[in-house]
This record gives sequence, structure tokens and C-alpha cells, in this order.
Amino acid sequence: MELLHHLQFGFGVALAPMNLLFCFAGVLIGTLVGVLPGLGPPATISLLMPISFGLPAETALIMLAGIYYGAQYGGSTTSILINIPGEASAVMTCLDGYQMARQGRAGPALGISAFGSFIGGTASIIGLMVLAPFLARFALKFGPPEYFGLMFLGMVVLTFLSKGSMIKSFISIAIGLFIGTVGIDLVDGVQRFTFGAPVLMDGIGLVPVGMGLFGIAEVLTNLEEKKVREVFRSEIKGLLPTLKDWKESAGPILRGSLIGFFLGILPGGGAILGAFTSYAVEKRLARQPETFGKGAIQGVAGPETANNAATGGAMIPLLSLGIPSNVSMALLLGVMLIHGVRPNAFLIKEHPQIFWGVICSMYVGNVLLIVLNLPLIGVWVRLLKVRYGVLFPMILIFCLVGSFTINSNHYEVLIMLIFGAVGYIMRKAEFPQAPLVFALVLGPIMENALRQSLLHSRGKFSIFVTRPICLVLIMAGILILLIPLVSQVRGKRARIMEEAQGE
Amino acid sequence: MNRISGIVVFFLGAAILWQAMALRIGTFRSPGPGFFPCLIAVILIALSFFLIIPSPKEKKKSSPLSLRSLGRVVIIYGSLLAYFFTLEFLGFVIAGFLLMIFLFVVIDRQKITVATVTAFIFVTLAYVLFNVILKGQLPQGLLGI
Repeated sequence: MELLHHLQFGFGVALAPMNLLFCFAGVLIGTLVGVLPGLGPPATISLLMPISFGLPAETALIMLAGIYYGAQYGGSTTSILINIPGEASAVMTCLDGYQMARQGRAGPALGISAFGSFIGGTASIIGLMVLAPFLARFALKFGPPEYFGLMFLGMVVLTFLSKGSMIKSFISIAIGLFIGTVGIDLVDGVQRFTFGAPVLMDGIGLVPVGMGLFGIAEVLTNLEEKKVREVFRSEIKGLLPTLKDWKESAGPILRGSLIGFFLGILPGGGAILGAFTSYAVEKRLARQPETFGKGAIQGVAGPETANNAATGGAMIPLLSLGIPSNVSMALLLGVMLIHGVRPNAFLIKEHPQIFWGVICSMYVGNVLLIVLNLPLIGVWVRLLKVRYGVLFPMILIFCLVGSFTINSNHYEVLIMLIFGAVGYIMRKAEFPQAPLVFALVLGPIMENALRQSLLHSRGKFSIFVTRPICLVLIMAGILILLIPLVSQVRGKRARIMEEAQGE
Repeated sequence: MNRISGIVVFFLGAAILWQAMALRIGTFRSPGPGFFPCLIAVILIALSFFLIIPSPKEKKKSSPLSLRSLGRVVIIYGSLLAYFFTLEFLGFVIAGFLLMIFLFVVIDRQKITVATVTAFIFVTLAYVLFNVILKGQLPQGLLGI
């Protein structure tokens, strides 16, 4: 079968010594980042982007993707042990996982979490493997208007699923789009918004913005609070879940895989939505729903599987269409663009080592992760004792040095610092930053699509509505935009978001 | 707070629009470099109204920012800026060393002696990692390394 041939090739790439090494590094760093509350995959990927420049594209992506899905493994550790989610997607795990720990069942909770994550992650890669080429073939029919419509829909869904006000999300997107226009206009060769500054002529790079918004701003925001963490002291014995645990978890794991995978494909959906939906579904389907919140293993198995399954789903739009479904994917897209690779329907044909190499590396990564996570839990727990006071200066220095190394230009450092301040202000004013990064990466592509469409149609906007696929995309986007106007749904959405942020 | 944000966004949109008109907006037939920025500006201005005009659903005010924590943030941010401005002149080794001492003392509340030692270790590590291993070219400044 052709698929086997692809897999053979892909594993050949994934198991090459250098790629294997960087895969290991990526998942290790990812787990670490997942365990540490406050630091997330977007920040870490931003921080490591300069290092990825010297690497071949597939190696860079293998490592950075490893950080992304690795973090979903690590996030559950702190949820279970100290009731603090390492990642936003691990919030649901706190509810029952911590209760299980308090009942002396931290071991099985951690165990089923790891196993569920592995199953969910692996299952979603299989889904990715099957669906992505199919989608890519479908996308061959896409022309500039369709891409524009798709990006429009993606942004709408992203804002709809983001927490906070949709207005602010849209403003964030608009600002990101604007930043993307700074630099030399490729069509006309005209300088836009550069005000004569040479550093701006190439545009404002993703790396300083990412490091500023997610690295510097994160540290600045965290400086205000004093964090007190009480790590669960009692011994963690017996990591293996009992047979009864497995029986109860089988259904949630199965359902979690499907839920997470499909929700991961949606822009803005991803791990958080997957985990929350899985919890809600399991509670609805459980024979004894009242046990939820008191240490029901289904409440751990389902969400943990779902948030890992979402990682595979999230890669689909990126690899087959070139549309990122969340911030981490947007950053990966940025890395690809910096390496001169343009992911679209032709990625499979033109860069099979990237497409199949990355997919196969995800299998390898998941295996590495389950090996890392089970025995090393003690290590992760000890790591939590690292003082924030030491961590923060390190992150800041890392950002300062890293941003300099992009172009050996110290003005990049200034750009990063400016966006650090912007990010801090945005957090205070409750503007989400993820849409900004999203738009920054997609903006130039979107503008190109728009201009090409208009050139092609000689100025008629009707091109967007006469082409069927494009029309469907745009109508879907407009419909979703109209939903919040129905105030009932708005109330429900607000409640859902509040519940998800709850603890 | 929302109102202030709205006003800021409004002026941002207006500024972009003004600049976009200086660049050619062009026509629908052949969009110019100012076309997309103009669209963005219009969206920003429109959205800013939603923030300026209070909506009936105003949640309670988010946690107020204490002056003390804001001061802390400003001081630390200021030190980062100071690093930037002195980087070329002092070079990475000196500027980074000084910054690290400052950060360790202020953020981690270490004693100066401890901070100096830690900073020395970290600067050396960073220098080795970035300049020697990764072959970066950190600014040399006064020390010339």
C-alpha cells in the first residue's frame, strides 16, 4: 500500500540520529514546560526559534512539535499532585485527579493519565496520517479566494472559541494584521510604515514578537504575584492502574481520542476545548455522575486522552492547508516560512521529508514520552521546587540574548522589549495575545490572497461569493459571527468559559 | 478601562488610516499598498466604538493593579531597557553580568554576594553556549570579547 511506503520513508527521516536527538530534546523540554505552571508551549517555541534557524526544516519542526505535544503530557502531573494545572488544558484533570491523589491514588491517576495521553496521541497521529493527504487533495481545488475565505473562517472560529470578549479578540487580530504589513510591500516594492528605520524594512519578525508577547510579558505579569506551592508530600506508590481502573477508563479513553482529535482540527479549538468537552461528555454518560469531582478516574482518563488527541488534529490544517489552528501551530507555520517552506496542498509532494518525517516523529515522540513520564515523575516533582525567582531572570536573559542572535542586530532586542510591554498592557487590559500572533503570521498570506483574488476578478468582490467553496467558507464565518448576537448563547458561552477557567 | 482601550484603539486606527492614504489605496481593480492597511484601520475604528460605548453587560472590575507591583514591573522593565541601551557600548559580558546581578537581587531577593556569583556563572554559561557553541556574535563592547 502506498501508505506503508510513505511510513517507511517517514520513519527513515524520523529515526535519523539527529532528528531522533532533537525529537528527544523537544519532548523533554515539552514535558518540563508542561509541568511548570506559567510557561507554555507558545512561549517555549518562541524562545527556541532562533536555535531552530540553523537546523534543517524537518529537524526544527520535529523538535518544536515535540515541545507542543510533550507539554500535554507534563501538564497533568501538577494538576494531580498540587491541584495547579501546568497547562490550561489540564484544568479538568485537577478536578478528579487531585481528589484521587488525596485518596492516596495519585499513582493510578498519573498512570492512567500517561497511558491515556499515549493512546490519544497515537490515535490522533493515525487520524492525521489518513486525513491530511485526503484534505490536501481536496485543497488542490483551492485558489486565492478560497484561501482567503478559509483564513477568514479560521479567524472567526478562533475568536469565537477564545476566552474573553470577541471584540477584543478581533481588535487583537486587526493589530496583528497591521503589524504584518510593516515592511516592503512585495507587490509594489513600496515601504510601508517603516518610517525610514532599516530594521523595519524586512518587516517585524515573528520571533521578537513571540518572545516579547509570550516570554517577556509572561514574566512581567508573574512578577506581581507571589506563588506559593505546596507539593503533595505523600509517596507515590503503584503507578499502574488496576484492572477496574482500566475497565472504567476504556470508554473515556476511546471517546476522548475522538473528541480531542476532531476538536483539535478546529481553529481555536484544540486541547482546552477537547479536555473540557470530554469531561462534560463523560460526566453525562457516567453511571454514577455524582462521583465526578470526587475522584472518578473517568474524569482523568477522558480529558487527558482528549488533550493529547487534539495535538494530532491540530497539525492537520497546518500540514495540509497551511492554516494554523492555534498559536503554537501559527509559530510552527512561521518557522516553516522562515525556512522557505510554504505549507499548502503541495507540501506532501514537494517536501515529503517534512510531512511524513514530522508525522512519524510524532509516533516516536509519543513513545519517548510515555517512557519519560512514568519513571521520571519523581524528577518532575522535584523540579517544581525550582524557585521562580531563579527561573524568571533566566527566561528574561534567554529572551534578550535569543532575540539578538536572530540577525545579530540589537534593534531586534528593542522590538522584542516593545512587544513585551505591549503584551503586558494587553494582559492588563484583557486583550488576548494569541489572535495577534495568529494574524501576524497569516496576515501577509491573507493580504496576498485578497489582492490576487481582486486582480483576478478585475475588482469584482463577487468573486468571493460566486465560487462555491469560498462562499460556503465565508457564510460559515458570518454565521458564527452572528451567533453571539443571540444573547442566550452568549450567556451560555460566558458560563462555559467561566467554568473552564473556574479553579 | 475598556473605554481607555477603546480610545487608544480608535486613535491607532485613525493613525493607520492616515498613513494608508499616503500610500496608494488604489482601486478594487488594482489594490495598492494602502488597501489592506486601510481595511484594517476601518475595522479597528469600528471595533473601537464597541469598547468606548459601554455595553449593558459590564462585569465587575478586574483586580485593581496595586501601585507597588506596578512599580516592581516598571523597575524590572527599566533594567531590561538599560541593558538594551548599554549593550553595544559595554558588550554582552559586562551588560549581561550587571543585568543578571540586578535581576537576581530584585526578583529573587538574593544577597549581592550570592547574586554576583550566580550571575558570573550564568554569564559564563551563556557566553559559552551562544558565542562558542552556537557561534553567535554577541556584542563585544568594552571588554572586546
